[in-house]
Amino acid sequence: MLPWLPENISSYGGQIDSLFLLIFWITTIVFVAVQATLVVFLVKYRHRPGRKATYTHGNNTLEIAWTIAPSIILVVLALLSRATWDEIRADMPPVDVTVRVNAKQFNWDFTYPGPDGVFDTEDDLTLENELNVPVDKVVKLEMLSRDVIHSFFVPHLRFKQDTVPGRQIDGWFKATKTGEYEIPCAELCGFGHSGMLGHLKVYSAQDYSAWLTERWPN
Amino acid sequence: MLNSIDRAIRLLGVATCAALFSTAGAFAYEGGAVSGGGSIKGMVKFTGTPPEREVLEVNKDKEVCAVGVKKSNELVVGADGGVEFAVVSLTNISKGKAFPEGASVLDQAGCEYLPYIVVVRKGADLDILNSDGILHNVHTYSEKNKPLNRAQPKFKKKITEKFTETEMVKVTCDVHGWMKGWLAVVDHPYYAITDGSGGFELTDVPAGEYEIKVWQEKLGESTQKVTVPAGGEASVTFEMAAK
Amino acid sequence: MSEAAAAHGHDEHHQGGFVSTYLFSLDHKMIGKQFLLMSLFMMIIGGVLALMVRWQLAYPEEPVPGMAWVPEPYMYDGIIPPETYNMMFTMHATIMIFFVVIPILVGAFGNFLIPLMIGTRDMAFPVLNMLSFWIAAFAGSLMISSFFVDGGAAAGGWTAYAPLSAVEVYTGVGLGQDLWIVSLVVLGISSMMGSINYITTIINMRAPGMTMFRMPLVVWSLFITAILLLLALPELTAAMAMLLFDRRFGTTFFLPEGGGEPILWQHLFWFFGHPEVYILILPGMGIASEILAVFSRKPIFGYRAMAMAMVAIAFLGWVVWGHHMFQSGMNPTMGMAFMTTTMVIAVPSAIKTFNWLGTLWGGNIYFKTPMLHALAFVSMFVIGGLSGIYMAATPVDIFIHDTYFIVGHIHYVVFGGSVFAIFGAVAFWFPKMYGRMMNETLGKIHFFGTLVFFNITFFPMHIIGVGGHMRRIYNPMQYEFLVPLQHWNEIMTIGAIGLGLFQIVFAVNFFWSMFAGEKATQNPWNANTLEWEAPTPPPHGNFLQIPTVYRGPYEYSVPGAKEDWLPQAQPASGVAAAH
Repeated sequence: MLPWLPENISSYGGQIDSLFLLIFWITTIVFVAVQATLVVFLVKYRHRPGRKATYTHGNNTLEIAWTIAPSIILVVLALLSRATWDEIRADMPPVDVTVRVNAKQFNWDFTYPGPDGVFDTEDDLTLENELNVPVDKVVKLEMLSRDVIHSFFVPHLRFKQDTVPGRQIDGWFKATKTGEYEIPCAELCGFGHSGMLGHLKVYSAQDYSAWLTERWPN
Repeated sequence: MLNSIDRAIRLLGVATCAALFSTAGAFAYEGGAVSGGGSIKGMVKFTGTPPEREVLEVNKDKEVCAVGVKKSNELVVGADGGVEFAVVSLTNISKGKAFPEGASVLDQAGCEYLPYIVVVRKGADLDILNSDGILHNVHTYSEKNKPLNRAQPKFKKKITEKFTETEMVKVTCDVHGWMKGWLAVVDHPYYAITDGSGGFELTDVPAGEYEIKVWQEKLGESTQKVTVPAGGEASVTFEMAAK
Repeated sequence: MSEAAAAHGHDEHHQGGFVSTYLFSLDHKMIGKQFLLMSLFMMIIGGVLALMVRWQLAYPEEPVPGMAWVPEPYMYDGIIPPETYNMMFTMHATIMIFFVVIPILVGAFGNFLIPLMIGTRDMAFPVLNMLSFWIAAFAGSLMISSFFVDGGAAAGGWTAYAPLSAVEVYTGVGLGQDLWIVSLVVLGISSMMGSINYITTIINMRAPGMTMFRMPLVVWSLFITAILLLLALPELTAAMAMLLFDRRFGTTFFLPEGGGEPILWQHLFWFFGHPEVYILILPGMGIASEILAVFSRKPIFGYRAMAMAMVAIAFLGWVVWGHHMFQSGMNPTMGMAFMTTTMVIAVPSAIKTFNWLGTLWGGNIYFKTPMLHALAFVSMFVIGGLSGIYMAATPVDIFIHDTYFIVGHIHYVVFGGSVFAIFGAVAFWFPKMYGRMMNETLGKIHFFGTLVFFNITFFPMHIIGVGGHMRRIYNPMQYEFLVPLQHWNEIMTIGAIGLGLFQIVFAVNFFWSMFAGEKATQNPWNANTLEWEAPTPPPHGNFLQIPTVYRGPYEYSVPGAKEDWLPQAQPASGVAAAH
């Protein structure tokens, strides 16, 4: 189902997708049930000469039933969401690579700390719109913005986080497939919002070290 | 109604600006024929080891922008230490040669500003062209003029702007982070931008004593006195070091 | 002074000329009609903006047909530049929400219905009421005028997220954004006046026997809406003032370079904005309840549950605002709290849906135009409600936040919900408003055309949202991953054009019926509520004699009664008699 979803390439994307699918099935069943009931009632109880409507003001048992049933479903959904949400947002696994993202109208600046692993030193490297990461490693992003609010979105990673001027927001992902993927901006940031686009390059371990050597030859 | 609100707000702004800058000594330039004027020739020189020009990485709209190797124009030092893209001007001249009123042109071609520094007459039109057929925007940074931020999509071939205060205005394109240029908003015609060998020439200067100034974005400003003989040529050399 | 004499005195006072009858009328019914006409006019502007946005999305940077006359810099030979595009969707949303849906539901129907349905002669404060319309009209003209100032209209989205909206150079929009702020503050003043009026009127001026739990659900919904407006608007006004100060007077409430906090704006905006969403839908729910009962010839199923569900929404509506901000950088633990409250607030909406179905069950259903719209309201609102669950689940929201999924969701709630309710309400109360019936055939053509093209326009938004299509982008073709979805954009645009064309049928029907429709009887739908006790159309002062209320509003098909309706004002002894 949901063939339109972009291919998932992140470690936790599967969890998001299955929750997505679960909600899809629940809502589809409710949708079909409600609309079918509606149509059946409209046909069955349509006006015909001599027909008289049933006189009733309601039924308390039914009211209680249809208060409790959706409540239970929604509580279950909330609990399921909680586990995944905590894993993605609240807990940070041990980090392999850190990259700083600095958003600005209308580009993404990616700063790599270089071999010393520390930002704001001589060997930092800043690339515009190009995020290079190794596959199967936990990448931590330190997200900042220079002007307005942007939103760092990688559809294939199921990753989205607003970048807010004045504060640093940390996020993480682990890409599970090599390749090149798009990084659009998802929050309106001005007339250049559309087309604010970076690229995520996920390298195999070998290609990643080749990239490191190319950028930091010493 | 709205116009009057708009005007009221602007008037308020103008009044504030006038109050702030009234001490700056605004004067009106008077242009006409100059007989027996002299000229100033000179050079802006870099002292010390010239830095290497940074290569700009093009990572967006490559089909249009990735023409040749783009290098930073922030500090371009030629073979004999001549500094390109320095702005040389006389600071205290109120009467001299005719000041052409036509529009200046800033082109965006190959995702670069051509030329890097444009001299714009205060209050005259600046035509900003988009020869690239992709989206650019014109974002200015300045102290005295109102900052400007306008999109220029491919079908908007030309936009025209005016600048009302003399100053150096930085221009960038937020779509292409490497793009940078400058506007020199001027109120008299005695301005020159140094060429590849750091040289410049100001012509038809009425004979007299002047203050001459150089501005370079990395090296800052420097002034000298110069005396222009009638019908002759004065020579000026600025030596500037990295700040 | 007897009531009849009071009504008479009132009447004489207003038997004035054109100006006091049509412009500065103190009659709640005329004020309601003024709101209705103003909002329908604004709907045309909002609709044209929407069509142009849709054109750009389906055929990016191609000239909009017939728009070549629009001067630069708004358009270039009919081509929409990105900054104009941003203005268009910003102003589309602003106009539709603040100047169409709220003024029609609250301003037009709130005004028209409340005094008639609770059985009183007018609002508690008629002058305040008149002022509230003219202040709203002034706000509307400020909003429209912002298109024509240097730099154009607001382009930072209807949510106006700071710092984008707070610093001129970030958008290039100057006075336009200021006018946007001022216009909404002025509109807020108008809504405050209206709310105070509605609340006072409902609490103090109900006809004898009209207890709170004998009030029609639409009055309940308007009562709760008025309370929400009264509490939400001062907060919005404060936020708007802060934004204006940041823009013009150098404060930095929302600007980090001066120690401000951009996310503060979002908290302030959505603390207003979520109750706002319920302000948009609650009156629609009330209208649908009214129409469903009348055309099913049945009492509303679970009247008290329906009223209480709305009260529950009114309370819970204040604690869910953070669900708009799951990706904003807000603490993830707060995300959990807001997810829980959001899941809870879905329950009252579910209860209402089931009760509507319960109302239809065993009914004697007449498919008149108002009923068709009310049924569409229920059906479409279900889709809008269910799609909300995806956003409530925080992990799924990571993906669909700021995509077209949410654009689809809001349109199913506000168009599929509120606007269908509005069409239903217009058809239902038109006879009481203008003394003539709307044309049933044109009404049905309009209804089916709207229903079909509405779904063609908005359902695929969920699909491209699942595909990751961001909202508010100018040109989807700039993204490789969106190229395979582009045909949906074309389908939606064709749908939107069809949807727009079918509204012409509505406009024709509306104005034609106003002058040449079949004359309406006093109670054309055989309905129970008090507005049908008044002459058609009701004179200034509404009732010849203030009715006394003997029962609840939905006594249809009472066993033993001769007719299948039993008006609220009919004394018990007259149960068997024809009205």
